[in-house]
Amino acid sequence: MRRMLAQGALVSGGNFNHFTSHVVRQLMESDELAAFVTQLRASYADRAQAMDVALRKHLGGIAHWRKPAGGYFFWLELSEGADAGALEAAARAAGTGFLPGTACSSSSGTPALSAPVLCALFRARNPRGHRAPRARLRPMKPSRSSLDNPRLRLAAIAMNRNDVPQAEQLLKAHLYEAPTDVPAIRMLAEVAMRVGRDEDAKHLLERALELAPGFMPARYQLAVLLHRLNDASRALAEIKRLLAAEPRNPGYRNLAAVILSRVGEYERSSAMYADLLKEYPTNAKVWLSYGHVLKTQGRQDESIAAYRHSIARDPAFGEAYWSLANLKTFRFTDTDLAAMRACVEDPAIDEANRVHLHFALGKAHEDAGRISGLL
Amino acid sequence: VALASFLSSAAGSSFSAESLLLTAGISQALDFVCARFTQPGDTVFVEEPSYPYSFPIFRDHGLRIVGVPLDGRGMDLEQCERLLARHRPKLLYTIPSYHNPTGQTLDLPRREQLVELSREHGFVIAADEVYQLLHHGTPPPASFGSLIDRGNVLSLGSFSKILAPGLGSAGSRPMRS
Repeated sequence: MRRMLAQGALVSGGNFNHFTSHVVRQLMESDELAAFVTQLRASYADRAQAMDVALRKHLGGIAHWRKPAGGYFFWLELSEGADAGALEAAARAAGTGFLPGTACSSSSGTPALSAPVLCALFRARNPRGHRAPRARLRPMKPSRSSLDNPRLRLAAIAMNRNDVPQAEQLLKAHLYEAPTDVPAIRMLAEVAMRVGRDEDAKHLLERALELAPGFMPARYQLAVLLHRLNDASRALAEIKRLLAAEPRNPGYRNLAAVILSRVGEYERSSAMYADLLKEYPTNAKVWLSYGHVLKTQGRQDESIAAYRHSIARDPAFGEAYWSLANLKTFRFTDTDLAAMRACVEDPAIDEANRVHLHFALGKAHEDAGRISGLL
Repeated sequence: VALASFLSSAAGSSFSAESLLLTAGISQALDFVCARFTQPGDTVFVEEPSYPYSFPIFRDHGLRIVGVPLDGRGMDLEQCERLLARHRPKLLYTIPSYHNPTGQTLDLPRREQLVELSREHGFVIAADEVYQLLHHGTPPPASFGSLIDRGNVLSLGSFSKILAPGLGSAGSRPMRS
């Protein structure tokens, strides 16, 4: 430390960065920085997930990579014969880009990049055009105006990291001062739903709608809650009002399709899913739900096709494989088995997908009479 | 003091204000580290591959750059030891968490082993820890900032990745010894 402090420039200037240090200090003392870092982590995790899905879709056959567990970067190693120059030109034409791995070599003549020399680097930062799969997005976000209030913003951040007590405390403090702030009431209802206090949530949402009958986020949330409480007829009535206001809203249509299938209206439900998928064909989760309804209707081939669409959209989607495995007469192909094995061997895959994939693999081995292959 | 308290709560270990030095970002911090701990003609070890804009800083100080390969779990320390038999570096530059550009992370036993090597071979570790706080769910192993008592360790941090690009108020964590 003494050696660093003895630098001439420091002795002369006292500090290298007076102005910025003061700005940053204020942010640290207000706790806003810690909250912002939490938000950044969630945002980068979402982007990395979207990037991974997009890479699997477009470069699955010609490159290898590991989804990073943090930070900004994807590092891709190209298979032999892949043309990095052509990829770079194609990337540029598509309005994106990457840095060739060789640019990161210190070229010291020591053993370096001994693996495939053709390496490519993608920055996960701002992958424009790659959106997180819709199904993974949280259905409701407080409106922009309510987020202008710093306490509500902190509450939203606390909800994002699932810190329910912190979110509840912030929201209650806010509502004590502004008891008719409808977006805040809706957020508090969501907090109550997270911890299973459904009746509290219902009262809060009904109160919000009393104050502001046109506040759609609260009505949507009430429909979700009623569906969860098995009150399908009231849930449908709420959904009807939502759809009357916004007939093309995909969230409302999706919830309507879910509830219709729950009450046995399979034809209306599958028609609604088919209609949604015409507009949003890349949503793996909707393809899965569509597959379930088709299966219930006895339309087995179409249901298999829907599950396969789902897998094509998200190759690591364990639940889609699991659903295929659950079809009595269905048999996986060798290509399916290889794809599933590659997924479970990927250390970055999440737990729910891994469990579903292991189930599907187990079922496939059982069907083929290869019990020993499991042990 | 505010920085010490922010780092302590982020890292879960205690940092004292006396062990911190504010800089205008990693690039400036690296420049000063080179100025204080190396002479032209000395050797610096870097990961191979590494952050490409660090190379010109080392070259400005007349340093010879030697790359140490990575093996999927960060710097390959067997290779590092092999290279230490042939070179006597004054400085080792590493990006231990979510490495730029490969995304790899060095595990804790290797971090400790690297600190041990720095004592044995008398080089300074400059750990560029700008991504340390940006995990996507599971936090990385403890930063080199928490290992400063065990060897010749400087932990370099920055606000450019967690506040706004270009806002490089770096907290560098120099050795106590």
